[in-house]
Amino acid sequence: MKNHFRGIKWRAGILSLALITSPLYADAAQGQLSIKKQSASLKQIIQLIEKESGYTFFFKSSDLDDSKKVNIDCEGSIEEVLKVALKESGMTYVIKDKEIILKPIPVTQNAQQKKRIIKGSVIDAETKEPIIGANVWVKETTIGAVTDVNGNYSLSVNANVGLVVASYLGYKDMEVMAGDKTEIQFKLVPDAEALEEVMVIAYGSQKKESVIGAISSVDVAKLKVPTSKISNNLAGQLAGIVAVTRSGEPGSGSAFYIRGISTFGANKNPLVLVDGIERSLDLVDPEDIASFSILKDATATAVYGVRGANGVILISTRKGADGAPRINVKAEMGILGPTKMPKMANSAQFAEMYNEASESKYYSQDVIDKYANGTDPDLYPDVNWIDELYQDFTTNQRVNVNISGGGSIAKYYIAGSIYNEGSIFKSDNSNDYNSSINYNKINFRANLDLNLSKSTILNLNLANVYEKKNSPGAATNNIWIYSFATSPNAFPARYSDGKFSGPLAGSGFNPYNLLMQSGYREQFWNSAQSLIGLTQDFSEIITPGLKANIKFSWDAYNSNLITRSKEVQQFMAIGRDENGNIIYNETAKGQESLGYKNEVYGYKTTYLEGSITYDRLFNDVHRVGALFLYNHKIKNYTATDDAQTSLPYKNQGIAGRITYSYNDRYFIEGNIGYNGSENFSPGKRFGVFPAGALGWMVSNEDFFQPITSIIDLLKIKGSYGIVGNDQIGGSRRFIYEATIKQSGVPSYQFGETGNYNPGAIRIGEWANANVGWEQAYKTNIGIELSLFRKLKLQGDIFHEKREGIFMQRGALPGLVGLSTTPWVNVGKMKNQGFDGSLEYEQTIGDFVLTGRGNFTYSQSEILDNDEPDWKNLYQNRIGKPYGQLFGLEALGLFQSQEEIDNSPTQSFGSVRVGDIKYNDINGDGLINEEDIVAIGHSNIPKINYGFGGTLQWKGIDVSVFFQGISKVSYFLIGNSIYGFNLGTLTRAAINEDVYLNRWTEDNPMAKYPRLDSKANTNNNRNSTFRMIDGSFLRFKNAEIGYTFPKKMLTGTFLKTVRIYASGVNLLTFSNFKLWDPEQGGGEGAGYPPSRIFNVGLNVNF
Amino acid sequence: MKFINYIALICSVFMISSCDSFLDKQEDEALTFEKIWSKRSTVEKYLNNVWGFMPEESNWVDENPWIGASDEASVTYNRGYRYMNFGTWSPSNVPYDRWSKFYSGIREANVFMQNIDATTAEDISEQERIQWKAEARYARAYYYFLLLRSYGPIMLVGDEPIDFNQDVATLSYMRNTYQECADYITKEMTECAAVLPLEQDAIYWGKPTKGAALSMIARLKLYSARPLFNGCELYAGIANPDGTKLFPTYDKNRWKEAAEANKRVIDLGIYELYEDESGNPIKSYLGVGLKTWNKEIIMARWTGGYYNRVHCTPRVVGGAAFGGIGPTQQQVDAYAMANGRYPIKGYRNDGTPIIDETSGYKEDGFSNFEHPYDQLKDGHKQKSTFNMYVGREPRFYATVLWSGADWPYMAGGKVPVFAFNGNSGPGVSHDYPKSGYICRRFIDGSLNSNGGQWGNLTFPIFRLAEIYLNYVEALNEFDPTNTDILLYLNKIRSRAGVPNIEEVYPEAVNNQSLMRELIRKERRIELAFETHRYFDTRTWMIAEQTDNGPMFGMNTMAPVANANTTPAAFWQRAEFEVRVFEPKHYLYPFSQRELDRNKQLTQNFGW
Repeated sequence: MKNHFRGIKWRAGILSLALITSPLYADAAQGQLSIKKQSASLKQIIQLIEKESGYTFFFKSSDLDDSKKVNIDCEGSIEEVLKVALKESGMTYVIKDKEIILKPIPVTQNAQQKKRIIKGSVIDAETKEPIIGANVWVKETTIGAVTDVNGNYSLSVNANVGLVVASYLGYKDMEVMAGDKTEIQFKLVPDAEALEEVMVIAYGSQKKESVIGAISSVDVAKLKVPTSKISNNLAGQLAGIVAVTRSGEPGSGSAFYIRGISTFGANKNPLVLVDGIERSLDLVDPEDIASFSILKDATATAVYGVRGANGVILISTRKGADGAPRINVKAEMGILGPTKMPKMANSAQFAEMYNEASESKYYSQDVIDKYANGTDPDLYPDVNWIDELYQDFTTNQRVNVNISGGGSIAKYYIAGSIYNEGSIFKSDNSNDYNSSINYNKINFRANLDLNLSKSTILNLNLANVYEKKNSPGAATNNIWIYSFATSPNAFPARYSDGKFSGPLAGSGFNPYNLLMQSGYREQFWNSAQSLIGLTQDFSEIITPGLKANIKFSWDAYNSNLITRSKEVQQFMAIGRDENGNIIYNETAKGQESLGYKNEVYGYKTTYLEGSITYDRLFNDVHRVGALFLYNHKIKNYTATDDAQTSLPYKNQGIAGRITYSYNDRYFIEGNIGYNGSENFSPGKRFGVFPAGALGWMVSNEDFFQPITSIIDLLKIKGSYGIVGNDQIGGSRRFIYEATIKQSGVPSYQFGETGNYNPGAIRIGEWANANVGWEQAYKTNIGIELSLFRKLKLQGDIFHEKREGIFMQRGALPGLVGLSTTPWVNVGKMKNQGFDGSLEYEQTIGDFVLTGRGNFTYSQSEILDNDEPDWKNLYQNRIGKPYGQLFGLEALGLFQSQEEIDNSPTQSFGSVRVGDIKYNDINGDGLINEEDIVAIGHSNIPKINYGFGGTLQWKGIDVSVFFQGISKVSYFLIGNSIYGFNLGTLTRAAINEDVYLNRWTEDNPMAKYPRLDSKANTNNNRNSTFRMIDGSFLRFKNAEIGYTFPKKMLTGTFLKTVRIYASGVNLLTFSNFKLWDPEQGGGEGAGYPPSRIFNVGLNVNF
Repeated sequence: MKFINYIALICSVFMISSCDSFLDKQEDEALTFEKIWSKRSTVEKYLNNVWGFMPEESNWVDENPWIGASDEASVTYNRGYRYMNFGTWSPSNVPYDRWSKFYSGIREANVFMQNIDATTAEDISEQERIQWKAEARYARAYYYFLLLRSYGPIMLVGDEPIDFNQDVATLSYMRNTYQECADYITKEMTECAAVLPLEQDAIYWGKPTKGAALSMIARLKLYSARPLFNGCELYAGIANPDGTKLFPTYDKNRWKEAAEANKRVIDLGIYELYEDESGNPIKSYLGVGLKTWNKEIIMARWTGGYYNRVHCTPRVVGGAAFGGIGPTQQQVDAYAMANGRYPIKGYRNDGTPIIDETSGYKEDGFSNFEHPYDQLKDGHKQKSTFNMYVGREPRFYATVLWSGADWPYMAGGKVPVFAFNGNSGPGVSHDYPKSGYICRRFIDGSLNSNGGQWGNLTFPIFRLAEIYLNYVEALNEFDPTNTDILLYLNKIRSRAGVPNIEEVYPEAVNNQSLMRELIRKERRIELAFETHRYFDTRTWMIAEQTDNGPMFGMNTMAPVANANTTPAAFWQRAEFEVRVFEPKHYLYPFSQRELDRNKQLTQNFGW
């Protein structure tokens, strides 16, 4: 009976929805009833009727006021009995077959119109302090208010009111039946459960103190930096994140890794899950994020099995909360400019350098003077291409609105944002199209939770991202390349009479034309993310703590690029006629109209997941949890170039977890992933990935209690397990099958006119029936510590061994004659290190001070890359970190011919005084490839860190954040560094730093070697001379805000108002000065990271 | 209850249906290796793949160092031949290392030959099947020859594609001896010659013929008789780990075999030296390279003219013109005078030439001179010309373009100047010939490259003139009085418009060593820029003299007053680089990469 009754309640939920649409009719009841009961509640009476009559009742328990006790004694038909039983309940009924549906008597029009006021206050039940900003609302309505500075509220309500609810974060909700009351006092009780921090973990959440895997999370507010992509905001924010932003171009994201790189295989990237669905991180608006965590060790990621080896990033989006609608509006605008732009030598300096390099007077003094005084910019130009093409700053704007609220039936979070960012690219306003980069993004999200019954939640998350980017018709990387390559004296940006300038065909482009006269491109991305989920709590049906969930998502992503490009008619001035008019040579005919090209890309994904979870505390000491989950995913690319990539990509798996803790002191956890990948042979697709962890909360032990005033929390934990990586082939699929290669196979032309060419065909990739996933063996030992309840420390030591890295055989001799080297699972790599974080909070009077910091150190080592030993063992890649730079060791610059004669022969080209002198590592008297050794570090930083703090004083808040990387090296490579490397004078721009610091006889200990008028194959090699230390410390973010006092807002519709100003990338400290060190090596030819100054307004209604 | 049942049902359905089948590849009827052999079109494609590893011998910049690292030319660009010229190559830096590429060709040929017999394609006739198999066999043997000429003896891997899944240790192979390699190639090519047609249909020109297979044997036999592969002392000690000596001892009979092998090609009787209708020797000689599929060609590869021509077109011509391939002064000096006398007898220690005064050659002053090529055009004109270039034999004018000479394109009217800051010289660009000359042998004067016309080449792999030269060289070694020597040598000279050798050098008749020298000179000139010289200087083992030391050209560092006028200071011999050739350079090194992997591999001498 008991269970039966619960079943009814649950089904009533479903039916109450059905009733809205289905027509009602009553069926005459048969048979007589006799009901007799003293002081019974309505529910008891209903049970009695059910028992006697065989009818089943359906109702929403919230509709039923079960508090009144009545006496009942009647006899008759079911209708007669019901009339008596429901007389004072405010309910009416409908009979359908053997079911009786109860519903409230509709409120009359008259009663609704009568308004009255309910007022009162909300206070803390313990301290009796007023609670400011608490929500008070009439349940099931939109009528609500927020308490003022004195904790008072006032509601204008209808005459007939049900429950009034008060809620505030950290307190239990309190409900009071309003009846005809005009004043209600709420005394809220702090909610210990609600205050307990919960951490998002794989396929669920856990009490923070029971988490014994290595998981870091970040306060989401920290990620809300005014940039377009969240991946750009990760660097330095979490212990364990390694993020690299190489470009500041609007709309571009960053590369990021968890705990560095642990494999040299194809996929090094973590798995990113948004609301449990694999999605791109950058499709999420930072404003919509409720939690952001990274899962680092085996126990945290084992349930993802074959996909979790590189770590997992979990993001959940915000949900609605009970209460009246809360509207949050945030508007920001800012200006952005490059952090640092390289500077090139001007024409006079350029000419001086060339004369020196070529040991000639190619540029006469007269010409150099003309460059310097700028009297004839058409024939003797001096163009600073970087200034000519790029402006110092641009602007961005963002408006974000979100509304959240909810009641007992539904909770909602609805958000929308608009973001717009310009670029530093200049545009020619005389064209009727804009060729600059402009990036727009519109985000929309609606997250709904519907309570279908007390224990059933239907969850619907819908999000849509609409991105648009306008850019120049020419490829942006070409614009960067030519703006860095074009000599200052090559030609003017445009001749003074308006003619377009340009070099001879085949010898480059005029970057001004590329940027502003090449038409435009318009790229459009559209992403729709949809998720529906149903959660049933079986606590009252089967056993407490049991829940089941089913989840289905369908996502689509499409992009479309329209290129409307052209080339303008261009000329080159070759002199002046006797009248002083410029004589032109036409160098490009150009096109009259814009061309048209359209490229599309897209994919669609469906995902299905079903899970059962169990979580229960027995006897107040034994906490048991379990998870069992099934999922599968199908992804299709919708616009592919070849048949194979158009086939669906599928994943499938099962995950399980069991956790146990005793008295919150001892924790044990086991995780298992069992999943498969389509990449592998039938029968070899599925693998088991187990992991286990142990934890000890030392501070909960009795013996520890005396010192809890100093150390209030101490937890020690350790984990070990195996996780896999099945994305091992990059674009390679179905590795168990061979592929046939047709395009790109060199063929031979035959025939009288060479037109017999049947094409060529051969085996592309070899079949490998034994191939499997990479396996990561991960160990983690961690400690959590809290001192004086103010300082929280967390640290983890990790060690990972990756085996079975999928790679091309390196050990096969050439005589085997393979056109394609086969791929096998033979690589091994190790990665180990440390990550830790620190949080501090202190209140001194009105001041609230917080500080935080985190640090990640990871060191990888290649253990096996299938290469036999090199002749010189120091050249082995095995034993070195991944990405280790290799080059020659420079000993300085040759200062005399005698020194050259007495040094080992350098085999890379003829050597002169002022050239780089290298170290003969193997001592064979010859400097060649055998003298290349490991130098510096890798281009992925080994050390990543961030630290910052906040200060609040009354309404004012200030925050600062610094971020840095260390143990990272790059090579300077590029014509603007080498000088005259291409052997042409029009594409030979040289960095001013080279001009200032090059070797000359007067500057023997120079930073750069002597200039050569052609490619210098001795100097232009990777060596310690050309290597830079890429470490930097960056003042990444600062913000100052002011929140207006509540008093000022009293009487307005505003709840809170905050204004703020912030800055991003404010200062960079680095030994490397030529461009932003985060851009890496090369010659800095790319969109630099932006420095941003922002002002914003945040209003809550 | 129903709900939990529902979940259980869903889960169990997935469990059962799951496991493998969900992850099965969606059937898409992809082409498989087996299917290749069931259709004529794919079988033809596979055969073409076997041929896809053939080197593009006319691309002297990116495909091979045979021009850039020989004494006939200088190629300006920064490529691997620089390491070879400066003696700084090593096993860890092997320029143009084609080891893996040719073994890939060998493997693909093996795969083809293993599968073609079982083809189920009905529209391939028995005759075609046999012939296609022979074409793959030809390619395989030719790849072995290409390896042999660079590395010396190599490994013969048999007919089965090597199973690469074996233990790596079992993939170590010892080198076969030179004799085994040469015998294998000879045997294979003999079998090909028995099957291949005398001439392919016109749509298949460029596929191998009986003549091509015999020519391959003929050249191999010649190389096998020359000093490098015939009792060379340097390599006498090179042996496998098991003690097997890899290089043969001297056997004079190899010269006889070489002569016979070449005579067999001549005796086919289907090839003849190309002569232009006009009888003009410049046109005839140019035609050898430019007239596609002319009667002299035994084997050639059809190719677009761009890659060759763009590097031989001086910058002044405009358009794509990288003009960086120039004959050396040594090559210029090698051409005879019109009277047949060779002007330069040798060099003094300081590099100055020893001039044969009887030749009529002068190296100073200028004459009003009409370029013989101009006489082929409408506009005759005389130009003041450095005397060095006056009165030379026709092949000189067909091969060498000097500073100030007209660009051959008829409507061009461009005059390159190779001096410093000249329109095609050093200064503003690295695209210039270091020697101050440009090779113009494969420039078709009827096509305007500035207008995008590059034409096509059937770049000779084997041609009759080479066979004649092979033949007379071999004859002279074992039968110096054989009258065929003069007969065939003079056929070449006659086509080239130079007097018979006995008229110019009567003392050479029956004088083996003088005749040897003259045959080598003839070969250098006739086969210039056909990638022979590199291998000739090495198999003759004269590279220590020819490729070691200063290389000369004109003085390109002389600055111009006017970019279109060659300055007077240009007209003097100038050293543009000093090359290093050590004995170890006679053969390529095996790369360190290969040595690390194949522990049975014996490195060549000196490396």
